[in-house]
Amino acid sequence: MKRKTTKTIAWILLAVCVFLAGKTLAGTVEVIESNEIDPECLVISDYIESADLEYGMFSIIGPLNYWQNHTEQKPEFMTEEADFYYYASIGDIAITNAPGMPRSEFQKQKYVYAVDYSKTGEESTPFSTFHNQIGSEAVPDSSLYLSIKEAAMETYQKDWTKDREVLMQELTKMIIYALLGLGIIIYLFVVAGRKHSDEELHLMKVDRIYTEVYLLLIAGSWALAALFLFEISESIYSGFWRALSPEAVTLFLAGFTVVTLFSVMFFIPIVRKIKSNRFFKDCLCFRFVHWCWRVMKNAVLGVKGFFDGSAYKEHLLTKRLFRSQLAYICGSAGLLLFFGLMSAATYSFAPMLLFGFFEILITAWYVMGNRKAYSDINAGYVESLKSQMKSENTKTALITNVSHDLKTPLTSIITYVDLLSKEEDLSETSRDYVNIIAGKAERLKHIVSDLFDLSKSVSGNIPLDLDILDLRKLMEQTLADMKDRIEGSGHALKINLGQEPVNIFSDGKKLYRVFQNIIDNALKYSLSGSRIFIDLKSSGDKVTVAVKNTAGYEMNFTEEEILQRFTRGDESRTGEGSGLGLSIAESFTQSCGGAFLLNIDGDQFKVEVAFPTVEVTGREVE
Amino acid sequence: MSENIITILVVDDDKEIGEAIRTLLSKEGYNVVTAADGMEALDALTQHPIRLILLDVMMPRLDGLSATMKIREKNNIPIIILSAKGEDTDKVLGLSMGADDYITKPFHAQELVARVKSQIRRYMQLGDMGTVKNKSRIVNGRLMLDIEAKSLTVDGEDVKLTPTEYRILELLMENPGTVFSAEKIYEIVWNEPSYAVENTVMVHVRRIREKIEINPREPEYLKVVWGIGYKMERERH
Repeated sequence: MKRKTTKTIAWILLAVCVFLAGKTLAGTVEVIESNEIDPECLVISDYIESADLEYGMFSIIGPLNYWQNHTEQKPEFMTEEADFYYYASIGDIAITNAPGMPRSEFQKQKYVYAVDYSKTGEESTPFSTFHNQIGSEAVPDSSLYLSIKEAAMETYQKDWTKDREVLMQELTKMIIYALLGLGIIIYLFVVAGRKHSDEELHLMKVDRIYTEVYLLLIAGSWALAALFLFEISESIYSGFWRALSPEAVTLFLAGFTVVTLFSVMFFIPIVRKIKSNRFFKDCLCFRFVHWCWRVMKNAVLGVKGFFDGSAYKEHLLTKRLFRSQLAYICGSAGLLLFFGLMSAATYSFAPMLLFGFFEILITAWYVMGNRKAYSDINAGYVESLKSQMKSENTKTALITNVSHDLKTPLTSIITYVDLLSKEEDLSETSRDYVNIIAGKAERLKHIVSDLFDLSKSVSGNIPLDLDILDLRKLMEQTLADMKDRIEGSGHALKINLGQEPVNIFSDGKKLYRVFQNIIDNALKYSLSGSRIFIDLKSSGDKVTVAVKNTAGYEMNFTEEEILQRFTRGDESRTGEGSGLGLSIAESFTQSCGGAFLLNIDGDQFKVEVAFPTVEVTGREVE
Repeated sequence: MSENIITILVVDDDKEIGEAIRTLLSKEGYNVVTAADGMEALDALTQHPIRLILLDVMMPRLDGLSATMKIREKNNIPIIILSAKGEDTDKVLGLSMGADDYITKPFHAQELVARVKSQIRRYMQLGDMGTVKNKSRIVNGRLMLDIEAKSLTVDGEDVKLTPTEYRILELLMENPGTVFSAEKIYEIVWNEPSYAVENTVMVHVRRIREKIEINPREPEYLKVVWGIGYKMERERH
């Protein structure tokens, strides 16, 4: 079953539980009210210990005490007189409802209370077989005997137990509903933010709302409920409704259910917040307190730092700004103090007006001074940018000129070496030397040419011939073009370019150089006999070509180092190559709008070139 | 070939390079006159029966590009620019000024000689033939494809092509400037549905290049359009 369905069912069950709990509550109240049950019976099982009995006894002792003080009035009892015997005396007068029962007989009863201060009395201290703290007034020369009939007590206890059972039943029902409801709420809290498919915590848009909003909503719904209840009770008091009229009960049930459900609903985002540790982050109060604390910390703990201008000492302009700021603060504070004292001394506002005037003056001075400093800073910034660009350009021009000037003598060298090698009367050794010179001159030519390309590309002076092209086809063409070199290298290439064309907007000739350099690099520096992997993967609006190979030597350099110009894998710098291959590949890729990523992991060397793909509409290549 | 000795003018401010080229071309039987700048070159043109000019760009007094323009005002002889500037834009600029070919320094002796020979052959022998309008022939610069005879001449010399190579070249030369994908070429030339044919087509393209280009590594005619396909460059002028 999907979790969503489960959740819905849980909500329905919760509503039912809340409704039933509310209904049981209303039912219990009705039972109590209509049967005049004392809810005390729920707590105290023995009637003899109950406050109800205590109250009943007071209703007998009270009138008797009253009679002892005012003998003219005979006591009237609220309790049935048939249920008890009493004997009370003051001086010589005595009243009793059991004339044939001597005082000593009272003492033998099971339920008895006796206090006798009379001269003839046998007891002087109160005597009670009840557990309750029943007491009567200590009227001098008086006696008071009270005994509850055993049969009456038994009836009381029976009724008490019956009431208790009835209430217990209702209460148990209520507790069961409440526990069920609570269980469902706990379930809802546990699954909040979880999906069946994974273990992740999923936050919703509503979870971005501040914590306080939810707390207020919950408090609000309860306040509303309280108001509602108050209105109902008002109506009952004013006699508009009978306390447990069906209308009142229905309203109560509806209100109770809705408010409970809403509270749970509003609490669920809070639960998600707590789960994702966002409770305090989303709490406005907490944020405010945090902010205040930070400001206070800076202000109080960092007074020294606040007025510490050492960081600005280095630069004349910022130093000046900082000084004028300090002067402004001190000036303002001094002025405020001076004129504040003045106005306090003279009991008038005139000095404060003067303060305002001077304050405007120093603010104007402060702002004017700063404006000049700011414009100077701006000018300096622009100047530094300009000089930086100029130095960039100079550097590029230098490299361009140097590589250009290198070519002229190189032309002579190559041409004369060529002429020399065609001389017929050369000795064997001389011919070897000439061949070496020819080879080195050729390499020098490549380096100069690569350096030239790189410097142009790095300085952004490279002319681009951008067009929509198929990267997969470009890779095929490049690999076909390099076929001889690949086959001669002894490395097996694992090529996976996919089937679909992948269109990008780029410069094909430059990209050919990029991949040629990358593959060349892999062929050159791979462990002999190892495989080279070339993968083209397109995902979404991005296409990535990855070339992976296993190095034939230990790569004790970082990704950054190998991309440095003239860095080569083998530090002895033997073999062919200019050391600029990867630098050129990186620079060209970036010029063409791609991303160049290099990864070294142990012996694994991986180059990734990524381009954004483009949609092609209505373009056909014949 | 003409019986007369052909005179070539080499213009370079670097004397050693001038001398080297003189030696190279002398070995091929050409008569070489050297000049150190553009002004000297213009003088030399009036004094010698020059048939071809090799012209450096960066020179004092009168640079190579200005000299080209001046020469072109009244003379139609082939001009090959020799320059250290190797960018495509530099080449386009030089060729648009009226030069016939462009060689970047540092150059290979063989390439220089080949280009000089090519220009002279075209100028001496094909100059007239090029003007003959013949529907059975496709002429593109140094290349001439005879559709009836199914043969190719480069600089007037016969070049042997395999039937497949011929059909590829014919397709591309009939549509100069148009880019064909490998699949399209395969479908037309082999007349079969294409599948993973990039390698096959590339192999043939490279073989054709070996036969028609002076420097197959930097082709002038049969070019790869990376990521799209292959094309025959349009005739320059």
